[in-house]
Amino acid sequence: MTFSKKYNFMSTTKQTNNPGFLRTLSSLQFGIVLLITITVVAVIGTLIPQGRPPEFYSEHYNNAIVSVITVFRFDRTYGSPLFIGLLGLFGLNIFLCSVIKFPRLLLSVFRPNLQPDRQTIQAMHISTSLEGTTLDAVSRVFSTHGFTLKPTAKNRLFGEKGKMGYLGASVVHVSLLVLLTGGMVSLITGLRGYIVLENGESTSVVTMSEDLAIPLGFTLALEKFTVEFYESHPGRPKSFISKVYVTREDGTEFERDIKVNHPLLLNGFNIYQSSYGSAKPKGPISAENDTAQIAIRLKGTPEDVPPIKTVDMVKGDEFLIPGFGDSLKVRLSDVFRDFRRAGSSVSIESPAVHFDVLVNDETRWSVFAFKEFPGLNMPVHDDMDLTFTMTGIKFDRSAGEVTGEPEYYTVLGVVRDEGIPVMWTGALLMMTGLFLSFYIRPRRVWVYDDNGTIYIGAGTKGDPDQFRSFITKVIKDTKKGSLSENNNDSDA
Amino acid sequence: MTQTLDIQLFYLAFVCYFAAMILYFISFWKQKGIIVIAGKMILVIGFGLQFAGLVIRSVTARFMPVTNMYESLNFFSCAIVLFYLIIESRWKNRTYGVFILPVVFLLMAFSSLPSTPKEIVPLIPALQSQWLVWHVILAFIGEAAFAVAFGASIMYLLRSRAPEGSFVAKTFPNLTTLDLASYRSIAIGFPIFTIGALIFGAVWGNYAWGRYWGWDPKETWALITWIVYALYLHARILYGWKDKTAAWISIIGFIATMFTLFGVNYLLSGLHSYA
Repeated sequence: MTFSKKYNFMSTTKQTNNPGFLRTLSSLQFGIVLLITITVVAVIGTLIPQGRPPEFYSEHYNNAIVSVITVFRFDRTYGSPLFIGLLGLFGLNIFLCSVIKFPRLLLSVFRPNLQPDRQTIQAMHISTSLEGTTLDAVSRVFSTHGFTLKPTAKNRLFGEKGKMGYLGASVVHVSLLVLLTGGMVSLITGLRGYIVLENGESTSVVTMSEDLAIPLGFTLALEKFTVEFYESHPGRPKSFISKVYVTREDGTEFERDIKVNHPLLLNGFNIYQSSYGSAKPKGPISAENDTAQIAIRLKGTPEDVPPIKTVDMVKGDEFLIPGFGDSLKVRLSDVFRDFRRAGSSVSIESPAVHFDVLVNDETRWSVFAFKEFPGLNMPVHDDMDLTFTMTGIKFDRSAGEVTGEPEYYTVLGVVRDEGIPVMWTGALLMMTGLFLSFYIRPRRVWVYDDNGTIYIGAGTKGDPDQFRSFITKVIKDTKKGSLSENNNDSDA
Repeated sequence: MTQTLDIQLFYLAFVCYFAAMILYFISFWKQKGIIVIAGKMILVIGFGLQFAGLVIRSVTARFMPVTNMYESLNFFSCAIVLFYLIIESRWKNRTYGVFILPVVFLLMAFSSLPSTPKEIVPLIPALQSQWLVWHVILAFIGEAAFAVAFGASIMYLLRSRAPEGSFVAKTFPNLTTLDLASYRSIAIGFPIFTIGALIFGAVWGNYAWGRYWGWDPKETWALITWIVYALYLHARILYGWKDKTAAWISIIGFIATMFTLFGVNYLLSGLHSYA
């Protein structure tokens, strides 16, 4: 029995004799060199921060590296001509190396060569010859092992299993080409922009760049944007929801919640919840008669010990702190209904006060206190013996609407990208190809009776060892001429 | 400090795995029945505890616990142990455990560090997605197979250097088997990794951020990992590399896997953080 080492799963192999350049482009070696190069460039892109202004690079790297970054555009590696060019070459390589052979592969999968000559069989990956037996006997042994052989001519048998598995690798390669195409389509035609809406506002265009605003083909009106927080984890957002009304051009309308992970797909636009921000104040920062309640304690006194004094103050009020003669006073210099408006990044509503501590009528210390976040009270002066906490606030409603609920605006990301359907097609193809390639094992057996000598050739794909030992076992059984019941093993 | 039950189970499993690893080491040198059986039993018990912990955490949290480093590593190590147990029973060789269990041990040691937060925190909006769940789960199942291939490849390199008649030559499976172990693991893991890490990741990215691919370091390194294993498969099939080169590519692939998991978070963010 001889097992040729040549990789060959089909009945025929043709070597393409392309001219040198094309041959290089279409060679697997070139593909591997390309993949390694792409990997190296991709790694560089993860090591150098991307998309920073030129000054950043001259600040952080020496001149030699800066010039390399500038020449190869490693500041935007993945959009650089170098990287796109490499991907293009890789696409070409896959096309020439694999995809171009796809029609011929299809033919050989669905129309296998049923008449291989003796040499072809002997050149197969698994091949052997037998004397003194018959096609019938061979067929019987194969079928007891769960592999059916059918006569294709009076001196020939052929059988196959899982032939779709032959297509797997090529389908994966086709899918890569589709994905690369999708990526290019995204790169060329993809548009992304943002819509910023406050509650009650609406728009029917989206600004994609400074000089490009395109009509949506519908009107998007924000009824309300809400942020929900987890009760158990204050400050941890649970959901960002933009409740919108969509009015189509034909007048039909519907309501939708655009949430993170639940975008609105309409007219080829993908509108997703991207961000939010706090809107400009609608109510007053504070009103003259807003009353803050301040608790004064000796420094180091626990929270549960009653304070020296709890005092209600409006802006401008002064209060003489008991126990210090008439030397120590506190003056409320400012009240903030919601401190975020004064520029803080605290994400929930937070009333705050600012006051001065006076010694002998001269300001010695200047202090902030936050109602919701006493931990942020600042600054803590080492030489100040008192602590001040804000324990309450009463808004003067006559002065304007109290901003009980934080006002936000929503930022909706808008993408129009013809590449996306191409990408999903590629992804589906890739999943199909991977499944066929790795989980379907194709096997073929040709048997040819050449004047009493029986030639058996078999092909598989990928890892041939299992199939080889299966064939070996079958042939041993055939030689024995007797069929053992215990050997009914169809697991090939 | 009292820990919730799922975290206690995690620590118990960690202890079991450590004990099992030591017993595997010992039985590697001295194949005594009792040590062999005890090692396997403790490993299985550890797996049961860890799995129970995962289930309890899922039920308590009401989401699949694969949303932060601790949860991910917990799931990942559990998947590697499961893969290993399957391999041990199929290939009837415990030597693989000597090389695979330390990987599990290191992963769990890392996730047991006090600096790795373990308590259940509710999900921020971006993480509330089934695509994310399957993205992470499938990526880690694929990577668990890569971990097994890594162990087999290390063994291949050691075995290929061992003179005939030496301890390693006598106890290790032969080179063909080791190569096949590595290849089959990668062949199982590669499609799962591709679908989980890359495809479902892209789908999730498109839902959550309106983009399917953004070349951020994590994505890029996942792609690099994928390319390394693609090279492994091509080199093997088309050049017939079933030798030390293949073993090295498999090892490089696992290093890339680990870099995607840790390096991007801890090294690259460090590089990026100075600005």
